[in-house]
Amino acid sequence: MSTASLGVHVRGERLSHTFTSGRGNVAALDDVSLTLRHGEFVCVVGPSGCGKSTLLRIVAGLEAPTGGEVHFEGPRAAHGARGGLVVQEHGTFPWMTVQDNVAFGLELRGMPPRERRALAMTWLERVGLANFANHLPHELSVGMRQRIGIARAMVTDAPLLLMDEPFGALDAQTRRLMQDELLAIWASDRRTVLFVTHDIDEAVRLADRVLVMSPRPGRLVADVAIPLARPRDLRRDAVAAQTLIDDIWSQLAPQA
Amino acid sequence: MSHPSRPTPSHEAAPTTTAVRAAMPVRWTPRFLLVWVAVLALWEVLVRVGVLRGLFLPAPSAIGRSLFTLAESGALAPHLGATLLRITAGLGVGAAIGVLLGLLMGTSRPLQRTIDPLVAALHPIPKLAFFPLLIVLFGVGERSKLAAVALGAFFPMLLNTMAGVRSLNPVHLELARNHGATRAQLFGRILLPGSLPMMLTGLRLSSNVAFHSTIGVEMVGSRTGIGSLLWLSWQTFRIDQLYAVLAVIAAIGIALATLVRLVAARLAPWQSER
Repeated sequence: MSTASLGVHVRGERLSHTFTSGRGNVAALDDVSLTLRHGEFVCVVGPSGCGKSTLLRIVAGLEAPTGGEVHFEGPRAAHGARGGLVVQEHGTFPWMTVQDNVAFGLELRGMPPRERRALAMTWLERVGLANFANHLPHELSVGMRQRIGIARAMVTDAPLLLMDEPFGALDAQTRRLMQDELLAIWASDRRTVLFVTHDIDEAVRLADRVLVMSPRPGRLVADVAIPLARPRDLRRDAVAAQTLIDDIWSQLAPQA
Repeated sequence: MSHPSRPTPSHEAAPTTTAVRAAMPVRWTPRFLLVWVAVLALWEVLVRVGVLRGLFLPAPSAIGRSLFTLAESGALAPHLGATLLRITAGLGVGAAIGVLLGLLMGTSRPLQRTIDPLVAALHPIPKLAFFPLLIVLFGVGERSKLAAVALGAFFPMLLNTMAGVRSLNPVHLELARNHGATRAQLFGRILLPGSLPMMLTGLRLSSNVAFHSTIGVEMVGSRTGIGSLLWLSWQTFRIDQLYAVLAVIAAIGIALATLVRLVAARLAPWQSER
């Protein structure tokens, strides 16, 4: 399915960000423009400290850019980036049960307990945590906790998922598993995804498009379409995938 | 407990794990009982064969008899009641004010900066040293005692609550904000539960200080309470009873620490594992 036909969802225009501290200014982001279409899966890759997380935080509304603007368009525009944030670590509230963690966004909206718990349960089933609904997060593995964060974003109907290296702390095997699960979830209800990672293989596995950023100050140096067929099978498409991975590496290389 | 290292808060706000170890709670293990039975038996034998002088170091059996007489005669109960009431009331008042001010100082930099110098200078003073002044202010009655106990309980609670708020995980606050949390929701669902483990550390330290202060003020200026009974035992040279009252004090301390530990495990099971 081509995503080119879909309308624009997020438009970031000439975003710049400079952190000011006692020791001076650090330019984290320099004149980055990006467009996400509805239902598109976009990955941002780049070396550590290239400002990719800052970019995501700006889209999430957690950081006001020192330059430029973010616009949301289309039928779900009013939602903005509400409830869609998924982080790498500490993404669960240790004082809430697994179920209440997932239902958190619904709770804040004032949904009655019975209703929100039922909704949370449907998502707990989908991510395979139904048997752990009443556990506390510290009783679960890191991978399971990561599923809680994803379920929390999904259950609130957040139209835009903002994922900041969500699988960065997982072992290779669990990571592969979670990537497949995320793709399955995404395939079934097609939210727009902005996914930050430093793992180029991961980006090629997941994305419709990969945005490549340069080291600090972060600039967009390439916008690589990933035309591999879905559902993805990187063994079948090994050659094409490797070509794309090499291409992205070469985009990164001159700056390194 | 595996938790990420966070910046160590100022003052004496101890991380939960080290506080647990420093407090050395009594555990009713076979080893605990065995050691105590052995020590008491040895003590008893040494007194009976005349190695230890029974006058200053009475046999455990004599201490036990004295304790029994105290309880039997009804002399112990009112003292015990008075002491428990003072600990509870003083801890309640001091800890409540400590939590409130701690939350305010934790959330407001200007307020913290203003009050910090006062706390830093007053906190190191042994709180019992304030007792004469408190008598001047509140009179010789119950109010000055309550104030002394509350004052002792106040500081650990204040410092740990403040540190708890300061050590909140910023990711949790951001997630809540991303979900559109109001200020009230941030407070109730993130800030309060997030700083609860540190508050419970504060409660443990505060209850300890409240207990110490209570015994202290009772020895110095009271005719009721376990502390006054202890002092009376020494003044009337009833050494058996002196030991018996010490045993009661130990029991109160153990009970109090156990209670606080149970409360902590109940309220914050994700932190207080053991």
